[in-house]
Formats: sequence, C-alpha cells, structure tokens
Amino acid sequence: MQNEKKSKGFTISRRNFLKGTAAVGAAGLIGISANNSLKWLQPAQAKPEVKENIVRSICSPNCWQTCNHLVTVRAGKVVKSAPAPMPEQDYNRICLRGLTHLQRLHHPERIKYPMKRAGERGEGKWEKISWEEAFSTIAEKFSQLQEKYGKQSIAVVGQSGNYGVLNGGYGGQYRFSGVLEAVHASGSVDSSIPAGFAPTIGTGIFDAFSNESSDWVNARTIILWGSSCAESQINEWHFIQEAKEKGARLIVIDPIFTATAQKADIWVNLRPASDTAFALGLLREIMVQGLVDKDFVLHRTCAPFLVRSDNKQFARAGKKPLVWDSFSQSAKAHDSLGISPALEGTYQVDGVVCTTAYSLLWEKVKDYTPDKVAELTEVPASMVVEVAHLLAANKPGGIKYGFGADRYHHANLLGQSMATLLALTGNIGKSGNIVGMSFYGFDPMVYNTSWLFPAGTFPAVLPLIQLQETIIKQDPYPVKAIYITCSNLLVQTTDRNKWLKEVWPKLEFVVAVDQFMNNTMDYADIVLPAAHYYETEEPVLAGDIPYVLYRHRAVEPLLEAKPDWEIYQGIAGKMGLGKYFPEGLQASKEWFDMPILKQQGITFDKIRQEQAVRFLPKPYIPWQDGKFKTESGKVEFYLEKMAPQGEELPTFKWPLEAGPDSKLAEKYPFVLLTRHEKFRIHSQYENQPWLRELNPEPVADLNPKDAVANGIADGDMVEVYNDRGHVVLKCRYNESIRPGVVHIQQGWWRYPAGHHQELTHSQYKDGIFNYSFFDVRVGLRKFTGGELS
Amino acid sequence: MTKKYCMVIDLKRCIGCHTCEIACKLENDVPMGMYWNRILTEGGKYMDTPKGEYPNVQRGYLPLACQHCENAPCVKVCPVAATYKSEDGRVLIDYERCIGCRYCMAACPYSVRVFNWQEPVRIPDFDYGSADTPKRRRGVVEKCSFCEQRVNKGEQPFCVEVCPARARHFGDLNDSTSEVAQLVRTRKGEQLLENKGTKPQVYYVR
Repeated sequence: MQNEKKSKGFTISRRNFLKGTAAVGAAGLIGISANNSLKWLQPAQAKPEVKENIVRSICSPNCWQTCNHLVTVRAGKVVKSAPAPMPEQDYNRICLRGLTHLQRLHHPERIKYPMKRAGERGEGKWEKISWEEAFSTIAEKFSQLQEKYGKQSIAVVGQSGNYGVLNGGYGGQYRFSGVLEAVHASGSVDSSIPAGFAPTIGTGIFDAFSNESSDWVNARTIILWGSSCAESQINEWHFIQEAKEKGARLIVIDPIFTATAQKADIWVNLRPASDTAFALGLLREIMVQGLVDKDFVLHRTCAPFLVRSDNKQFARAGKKPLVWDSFSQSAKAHDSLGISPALEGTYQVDGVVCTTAYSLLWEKVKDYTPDKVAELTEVPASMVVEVAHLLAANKPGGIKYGFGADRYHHANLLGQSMATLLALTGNIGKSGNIVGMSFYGFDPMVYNTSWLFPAGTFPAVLPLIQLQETIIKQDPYPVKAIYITCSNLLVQTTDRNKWLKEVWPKLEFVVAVDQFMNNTMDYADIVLPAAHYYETEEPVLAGDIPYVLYRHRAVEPLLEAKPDWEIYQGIAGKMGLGKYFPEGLQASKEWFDMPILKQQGITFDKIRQEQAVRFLPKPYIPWQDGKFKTESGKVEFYLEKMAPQGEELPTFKWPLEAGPDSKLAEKYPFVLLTRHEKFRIHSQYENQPWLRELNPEPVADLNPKDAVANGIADGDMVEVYNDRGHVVLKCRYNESIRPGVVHIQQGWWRYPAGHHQELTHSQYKDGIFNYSFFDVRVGLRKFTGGELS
Repeated sequence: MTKKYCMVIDLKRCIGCHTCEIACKLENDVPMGMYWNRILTEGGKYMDTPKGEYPNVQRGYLPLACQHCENAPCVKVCPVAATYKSEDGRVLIDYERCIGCRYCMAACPYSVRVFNWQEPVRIPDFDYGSADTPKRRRGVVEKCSFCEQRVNKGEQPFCVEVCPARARHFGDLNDSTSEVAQLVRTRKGEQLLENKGTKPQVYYVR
C-alpha cells in the first residue's frame, strides 16, 4: 500500500486511484523530504536496499527470565530487539524493559572510557585514563595491599546484574576472586524464604525444585505469595493466566493491590509481616478439616517420624528415623516393609517419650484458629478457610513465592510453612504443581568447579550482608580494597549511611565497573566502562527456563567499553596471573566441558549453533518418584537442625521492626515497602528514556487516609525518615496501598535528598544472610523546605 | 472477499505492562514524547492507581491506539486525502500529503493521533525499528498503522508479537475461521464509543 499512494492526485477518488495504480512495483519506499512542496507529486523512487544483520542474543538481568532476543543491527547500530523464537513457543519472550536495550546500549550518558577520581570521593570530578593505566594502577595497588595486609585485603563484590557466565555474577567473577585468593562478597540478598523452604526437600536454595512454568497451566489452585509476577516476572504470567482460563483459582497474598492482585480470585491483603500467621492458619484448617493427603503425608513426608522429647531430634535406629508401627505396636525404621506407621500419637521408645512430627505440628498450629489469624493478619477469618480448602481440595495446586514476603527477619519460617502446606496437601511431584519458584540456572550448570577455580586457589566467600561489618571491624578479613561489578551496591543494599560514613573511610581503593555513573560509581576511585549484554559473547545461566543458553555478540563494545572478562584478563595479566584468563571463546568452550552437559550431548559447538538447548526432561516435573533429597528421602518439614532455636516446625514470630509489637511502632508508625515494579529490574533500566517517560520520578505512595491524617496533600513533597536516615520525594495518593504502609518503588538511583536505602538496616538472622528490606519502620512528614542534603 | 484487518485485545489478560507501548515506539520509530499506543489505567487519577477505597478497590487497563474505524471521521475531514481508508480495512496516512492541519486530530473521538510539533527527538538519535517503517517529519500527524510495514509482508503487528500476556490478536475479520473473528463472535467483542457510529475495527473482549 505504501508504494501505491505516493503519486495520487486530488481529483482521483481513492477507490479508482487504488485500482488504477495496483500495478506499481512492490518495493517499499521511504518518505520523500517535503522541503519542496511539489515533491509528493513526483513518481515513487525505489528504496535502496538496507543492510541489516540480525543476531540472536540474550537479556540477562536478575528477573531471571533470560529472554532470548533477536537483535537487529543496521549501520553498526542496534536498532531493534525482538523475541527470538525458542524451541517451545511458550517461552518466546520479551518485556517492556528488554525492548529498550537500544537506548541502553547507545545511551548518551554511557561511561565512555576508564576514569580515575580527580577530586574527593563523591565530588564528581574525574580524569580520563587509558585502559593500560587502569590495569596497571589496579594491579599495582592490589599487589601492594595483598603484600602488606594479606591476600584477603581485596574483596570482589558482585551481585546479580548479569547472568552471563564469563561477564556476569556467577562465573568469571568467582574465577577472578579465586585466582586472586581474594574475598568474594556475594550471594543472594533474597534467601530467607528459600532457606526455610529448600531444606524440607533437601535441595540447594536455588536449585531446580519446581515444575517448569509451562506446566503451571495444569494447576487448579495457584497461590502467588508475595509475588507480583505480572510486573516483576512478566513472562511467567501468561502460564498463570492460561491456568485461570482452564478454570484454576488464583490467590494473591500481598498487602498491596498489585497488577497481579487485580487478577486474583482472592486477594489476601494481609498486614505486612503477618504472612506466617496466615500460613499457620491454613495448616490448622487443613489438619482440622481432614483435608490432609494422608497417603502422601504418611509415605512421602516426615509426618510419622518419632521425635524425641529430650533433644527434639528424630528417634533413630542407626541413621534411619523411626516411626510407630501400628501392627506390631513398636518403633520401626521408617522404611521397613509391611508396617503401618501411626500418623499421630506419643509413644515410649527405649524409655524416651517420642511424639510424631505430625502431632507436634498440630501442637504448633492448633491455636491459629481462623479468628486468631484474622486478628493477626487483619484479613477476614473466612478467607483463611476458603484458601485452605482451595489448596487442599481443589488440586493439583501450588505456591509460587516471590520475594515480597522474603524481606523480613524470620521469613525462613514462612518458607518452611509453605513447604509444609505443599507436603500436607500432597501437591508436590504432580503435574500442575508449583514448588516455590521455577529456577534452573544454578543447578547444575554453575558448578563446574575446575573451571571456576583453575589455579587451585579459592576465594574467601563472604555473604554480602556481612561485608559492611567486615570492613568496619577489619574482621574476619582485613579488606582495604573492593572491586565492584554487576552491582549497584549503594542502591541495592541496606543502610547507605553506614556504607558512606563507616565503610568507605576504611577503604584505600575502590574500583567499580558499570555502564553508567550510578550511585556506586560516584564513590569509586577508578571507574571502568562495562560492555552491554549485546556486546558480549558467552554462555548464560538460564533462570526460569529449562535451557542451556548461549549469547552471541551483536555489536563490538561501543566507545571504550570492555566485557568484564577482558577486564579480568587485563588486571590478572598485570599481576602475573594472565594464564588463568584465556581468550573468551576458549574460556566458554572450557566451561561447557562438564559431565552433566556432556551426558546430554550438549557440546560447545551445538550450543553455539543453536543457542538454546533444553537440558531438563519435558515436561519438567521433579519429585514424581516421591524421593526427596533429604537424608530420609522424604519431605522433612520438621527441620532437626533448627531445634536449638525452637524453629524445627513452622512458627510465627513478628520480625524486628515491621510488626505491631515493635518498640518503634509508636515513634515510626509506617512500614516501608520498597517493591519491584515493572519499570526496572532492581536498579537496572533506571535511566532508560522510554521507561522514564512512563515513570518519570520516584514517589512515595500513600493511602489517602494516612496522608490526610498527616496533613499531606497529593503531590506534596514529603520526608520519609527514621533514626538511620531519610529520603525526600513527592507523595502520590494511591488506594492500592494498605493504610500504615509507605511504598517507594525500589531501584531509583537518586532523590531530591537522601535515599530510601538510608532507611533500611543490615541486621540479619543467624545463618540466613538475608537483607530485611521491608522490615523497616519510618515516620513521615510534609517537607517544608530547608536544606536538602 | 476482501480482507478486513482487525485487532482484538483481551482485557482479561492485559496486565498493563506497557510492553506493547514500548514495542510500538521501537518498531515505528516513534519520537520521544509521542505515543501511537497508550495503556490507560481505568481506576484512579494516576497510572496504576485504582478506584475505590482500600481494600475495596478496582482497576483495569485499556490499551488504546488507532481504532481503524470503518466509518473513520479522520478520513472524512482530511482536506488533502492524506488519511485514507485502505481496502483491507486499515486507516493509513500518507505522510507526504499531510499538511499538518490537524483536523483529523480534532475529529478523532479516541484522541489517538499525535502531531510532530518539532523535529522528532529520538534517543538514541537515529532511526530505529524496521527499516521500512514510513518516515515522518515535523509538521505531520502520525498514528498506529497496524504496523503497515510488517502486515504488508504477512507479519503480525509488533505489539501483537511481543505481548507477554498474549492479550493481543490480529487478523482478518472477514474470515470467519480466523482467531479474531472467533473471539469477536464468541466473547462478544466490544467497540469503544460505539454510540459515535465510527465502527472501530479494534475490539475488546473481557
């Protein structure tokens, strides 16, 4: 059509014109400049052929959807991203953020070259240096510090900015810190729910323990718990929608009315941090109403295991936990043939009083009646009953957790409760089940240990949340220098003032690698420009799709940017360790050399050719054989190891600050929730122009009732504060927000004053290295001016 | 029978994620500050806010672009026949003919046309999207063309291809076996502002 309409005149009717010009050639035309008003009367010109190159690449931030993209390159520039066809169409995907990559790659504010600090830290004065100088300076400083203070005076700090194996947070970074024998400060900052959930089935906290998302369409009841999947993991959403269209009931548990809650059949709008109370209410209701899947519970879980009253451990014969055999009226190993284990009861075993795990669970939950739960959670008692019945009776079903409910002290107990709910209802191991979350990236692909640690030396692994105290106290490691990559540390971790006032002064040297001058780069001594996803070639960890992935390079790195791997090569080379950083293609090839992939015929050549190769059975439904990875092979919702803390069974405790019992509740009446919305993935995409058009500035969302009570008008500037710090931003009235909650979208780099991460704290639970980002109380006042600092 | 291109948007599926909106900007080289496709929040005053009082709240999303009306007011008022109705049902613009009078914008009851008041501002500052996307300049009106450059080649509009919720469908309404025809029939497709008599060829199902 485009070619037909160029030369038409006013006097010819449209219909006649179209008929009369149907024979014009089919080539597309480009518009003709209108400087000359007569030009449009000229005959059409054929458009010159445009040379384009379409490359298959991968977007790999930490939404863990790892969308495969088709990237169009024209005249050396990325002009388009589109979803790349996957072997299974269901997994064809892209989202609003992934579509903006051309803006990120060709962003006018990209760091152009390596720079060193020219003024004071944070002053914003920089001087251009060459890569050669950068490598020499870093290598020299690292060597000096290591000589003076020991190898562990260097900390490599990495988060989840990239799932690439060479350039991301999980491969090259480990190798670099291992070769340097440095401290590697990393690990998930959202690990509390998984820490309670995964041990019940005996897996690692980010292993392949759930059905793949394409199987979720077979569910009849889906609980999304603290997950606004329709915003933060947009590409998993359609599976849930398809399940709904087949008749599934959707329950969304979230204090905020999210885009996901909007689609729910039941929205459980509970009080922040009361999630475990709700879970205990569900457990009680399921037990009291006889909705337990007895066969599964007796044979596939630890329910009949006898627990000793003296030490709260399982009674055992050798290594095997004992059950009470109703036939012989004696204790027998749980896997003995021809026994009938008792589910409930207290028995004497070798003079020790023992009770079944199931009976002990009942003791824990029996007081959580719907009415009591309603009081704790502030949702109607009928909701507890209804949700329990759906999960237990409208099967198959599952619970997908997000990390909304994870960011509180004690969230491990919620994870344990969720696993117990799935076990009691016998949902695990069946089609249509969701076991927590689907995530396949780290099991087993990241564990090519000989690749990760080629020198036979290892990093000292430090959970990221311990880095602040480690540097302040210089204990257990004398960290004097940090190397930050794949991380906007000062936006994505807590207690920003502590970083700046207590940690930074202890650091002699800070190197930071990124594409943009974000908050973290502001405080570096040397900044290095990193290459964008599309500018690198490497294997990529899969995240939530059961595929091994490979990313091709669409364009050479722009300006002076370098892929992280080449930066490691440069620094290690100057330190005499260059042999551990071979050329990238070779390094990728070596990474694929591991049994788990070889067994499936997944070779480097195959993956480089096909770019997405399935490595799990189809459909992937784990636990179908009813064998779990725990010591007993059964779901152990009774966690013996947690007995000393009194957390062997699901238990409800209010967290540090967010609960109504907090000492801070009076002084700081609001709970601060900083959730993930659709415009960013953590702090990535923050400066994408198209996204900023839609979501131009940070706002504090407030329920209008709260705002009015505090004399704050819609659009007023407000100060959100507590003892740790403050942030100043605009208030937005929003009825999605639960009264008593201040909501700020997380990931914003800058505010008119302060930062939301000034408000958060770095306290964590023993053995669970989780940031409690939401376990924060704040006050609120209208900002009436004064100096913004 | 001639084709009658039609889009069906499933509001039950739409999650207001804006992927279609960004996709449209990308594919069609739409400048900064302009939209051919917008996602309206049916609810409160601001994007993503609901109506009602917590927790009795309601919210919906309405993706809104050119409705490709059968009885298109924009075509009728265009003094230079720059906006025209193609035989396959699309309302298209000949950007070379457009004189920027903006009568069409005034006539459009859906407010989906946008005007280039200035030289287009692009970040990054070059033409992106498909190479054969029609070029526009300062002083012309532009709008959704059902991705004419793609549909002419037998492809789907880009917003349909990328929709993460699989909420958008495109096809020939005159073909009774097509997905769009079936959706309109079985799920009672609704048109926006039906009372205006413009007969949109974008249908919404809920």
